[in-house]
Amino acid sequence: MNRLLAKYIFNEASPRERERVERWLDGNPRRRQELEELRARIDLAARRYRHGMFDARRALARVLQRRGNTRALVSRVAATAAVIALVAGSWLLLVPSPRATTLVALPGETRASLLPDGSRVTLEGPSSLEYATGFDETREVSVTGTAYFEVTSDPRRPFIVHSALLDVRVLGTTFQVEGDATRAGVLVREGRVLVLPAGEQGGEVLVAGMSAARVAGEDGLTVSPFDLNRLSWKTGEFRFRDAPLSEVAALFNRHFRVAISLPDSLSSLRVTASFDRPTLREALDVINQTLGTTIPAVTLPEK
Amino acid sequence: MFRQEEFEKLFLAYYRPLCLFALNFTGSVEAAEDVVQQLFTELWERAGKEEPVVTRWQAYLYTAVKNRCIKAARGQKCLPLDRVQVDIPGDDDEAARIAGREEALWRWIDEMPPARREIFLMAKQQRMSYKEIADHLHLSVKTVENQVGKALKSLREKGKRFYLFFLG
Repeated sequence: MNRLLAKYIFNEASPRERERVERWLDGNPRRRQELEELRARIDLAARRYRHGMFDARRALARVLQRRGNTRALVSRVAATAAVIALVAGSWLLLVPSPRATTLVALPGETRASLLPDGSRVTLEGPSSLEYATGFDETREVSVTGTAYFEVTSDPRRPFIVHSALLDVRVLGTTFQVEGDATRAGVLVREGRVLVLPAGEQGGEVLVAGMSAARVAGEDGLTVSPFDLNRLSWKTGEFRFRDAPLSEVAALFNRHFRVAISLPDSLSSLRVTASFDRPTLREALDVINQTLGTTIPAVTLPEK
Repeated sequence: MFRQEEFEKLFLAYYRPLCLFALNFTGSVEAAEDVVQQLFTELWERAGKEEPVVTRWQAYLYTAVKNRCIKAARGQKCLPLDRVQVDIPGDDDEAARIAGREEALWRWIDEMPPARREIFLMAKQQRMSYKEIADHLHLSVKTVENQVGKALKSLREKGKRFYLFFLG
């Protein structure tokens, strides 16, 4: 009966099977009621279900660890900050005040967080970000590593990102800041931002699609368009124009955390394709079909 | 004193339903998890210092999550309409009931053997026909039929337990 009922619910029943189910339903009014109840529950169950999403045990471990480590993390950042402040001179803002919040993404981890003003930041580990808890009058954060910002608009309170080599000022826009004390970059996806080399005169206004880079010890900023794939770890968008297959594989390995290895004979093949938030299988299917290859999707075992 | 054991019990019981509830407001999985984790982190931080006086945890947690979601959204002038679900009940108890129900159904799917789960989700979420699923997974249509049937069976049994529990 369950199999038949399932076929009925999923519209797989033949006319004769439908008739059988209808007769069964008519036999008792409570059966029809149960059927409707079942339909409703299947709909609710599948509406947003993703396997492994909202994993309570993993989250619990993170919360417990966060409390134990808050102090340790802050003091480690403080130590780093002290060293870098000596080098960069102007990075004193990172020295934490007692009311600072630190967000940390470990190597291999991607972490999205909401800031007190509703702006969103995603860290690609190893990275950390710090701000005065609550933000108050200004919206200022300090970052090391790679951070992708989606800043809510607030014309009265500019949003300022400090890093070792660059300061970025924005009103409301989407951009990525990356780098450490030796080199740094800003990539703008939407809107416009003002980039200031830390501790120096001058600055550049960047619009969407442009990036600025600075290398420690060199003067000024280098402004250039950038490859959108540098944001795909966050956006899930891939744009390949005549790209070597080896480059595609490297990007997929990073994004999907897999280990695709190519035989030398394939690595120089060229790919022109674009994907928006594909699954690994979808992306490889397209590539395999286009190039006539059979690259398998090898998944790394979970640690 | 709030012992770790009690905190863990509270967390495991409420984490997922609260995330599902928060998702109604945030529209983003990460943001929903962040709100709930942040709330629990602060609770746990305070637990070392003061005795919790909350007696109705459910009401407290749902209200706290809702307020935080609204506060977080305030920075954005206007949420994109497609991200806001209009069927969020105004009554927090009602919202808690719905989120709890959804979570129980998630557990039902979680408990399926992986192959059955995959087949069920293909049929329901991706609206694939039995034939399409069978072709895709290199199975016979009969097997697909059996697996979806078994999924439904477990749901009906679970339903019976529900009824017995609530209606005696």
